[in-house]
Amino acid sequence: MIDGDVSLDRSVSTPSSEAHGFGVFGGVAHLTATPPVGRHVLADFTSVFLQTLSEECLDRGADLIGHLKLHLRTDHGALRASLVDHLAGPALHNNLGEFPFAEGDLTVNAIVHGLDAENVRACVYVAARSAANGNLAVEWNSCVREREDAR
Amino acid sequence: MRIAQITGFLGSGKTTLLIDVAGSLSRRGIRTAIIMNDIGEVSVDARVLDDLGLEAKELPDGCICCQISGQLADTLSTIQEKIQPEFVLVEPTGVAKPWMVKRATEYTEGSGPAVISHAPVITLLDASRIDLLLRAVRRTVESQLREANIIVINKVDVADSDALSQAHAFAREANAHARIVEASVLHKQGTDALVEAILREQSTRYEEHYDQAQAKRVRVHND
Repeated sequence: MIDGDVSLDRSVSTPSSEAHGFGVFGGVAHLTATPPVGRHVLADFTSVFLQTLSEECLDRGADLIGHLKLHLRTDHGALRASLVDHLAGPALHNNLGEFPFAEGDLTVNAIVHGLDAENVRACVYVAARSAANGNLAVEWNSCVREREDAR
Repeated sequence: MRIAQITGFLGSGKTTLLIDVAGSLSRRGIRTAIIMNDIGEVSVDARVLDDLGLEAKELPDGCICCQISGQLADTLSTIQEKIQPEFVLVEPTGVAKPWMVKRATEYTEGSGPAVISHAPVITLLDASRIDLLLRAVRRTVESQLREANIIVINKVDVADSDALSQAHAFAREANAHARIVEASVLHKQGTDALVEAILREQSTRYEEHYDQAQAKRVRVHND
C-alpha cells in the first residue's frame, strides 16, 4: 500500500437500495500513518475529507447533502465528524488525547440526494485520496464481512 | 413499553437530541433501549453512542417504516424479553414516516406480552437550511412534519431571522395541530422541555390514527 493511496476494493458496501431517491455509501476503512502523526493531522484529514466529499458530490450533480458522517476509532480514543451544509463546513468532536496516531478504524456514512450510489462511492474514494495527502494510508475493508463477523 | 420516536430529515439533529434524551432518562434511573435505523449498511451513529457508553441496536440497510418493519417488531420483542425497558427511543431513517413506524412497533403485541404506547412524536426541522430543503425534498419533509406532535425548529443559533420565519410558516402549514418549539439541540437549548414531554405526554396509537383518518374520509365522502 502506498502512503496516501486509496485501495478500490470492490467489496466495500454500496447498499442495493437507492432508498427514497438517495445515493448511499457505508464503508469501513483501516487508516494508518507511517510515521505516526499528531491529532491535528487527523483533524485536518477529516475536515478535508468531508469538505472535498461534499464538493465532489455537488459537482457531480447532487442537489442536497443528506449527511456525511465519519467516525475514527483508535487505541487512544475516538474522533467523529459530520457535515450537512458544505458552506458551514464540518463539525468535529474528539477525545483523542495527545498520543501519536499510528492506526485506527474509519467508518464513513454518506447519504446524498440526486446522485446514485455508484457516484457517491466514487466521490468518497476521491475525497479520501485527496485528504490522505501522503501522510496517511486508507485501506477500505468489506463491511459485509464485518457484519457477518459481528453476527 | 413506551416508544419515543425522534424523527426528522437527514442532518436535522436527531442523533444529537437522542443522545441528550438517552442521557437524561438514564440519569433518572429509567431503563431505556435505543433503536437506530439507517439506510446505509454501516452506521457511524451507533459507534458514537458506543463511545458514550450507550448501547444501541442497529437496524441498517432498510427503512423500518416500510422495507424492514418486521425486523423492528422482532427487535422490540427481543428487547422486551431481555431488558423490559420502560422507554425505547427510536431514531428512524431521515426519510421514514412516523405513523408507519407506529404501526410496525404495534406488531410486537402480536408476539408477546408487550403493550405498546407512544410518547409524542418529535420531528426536527433544520431551520438553517430550510430554503434548500424546500427546494430539494419538500414533500418528504412535509410528510414528516404532518405526523408530528411536537415540531422542533432546530439550529436557531445559526439560522437567520428570515429562515426562522420560513421554517415556522412551513411547519404550521404542514401541521396545524402540532406544538412548535425552537431549540438548538447541539447546545442543549430547549431540550429539557422535550425530555419532559417524552416522559409525561402521549401520542395516539396507529389504530387510532387509522380510525381518525378513516372517519375523516367518510365525512368528506358524506359531505
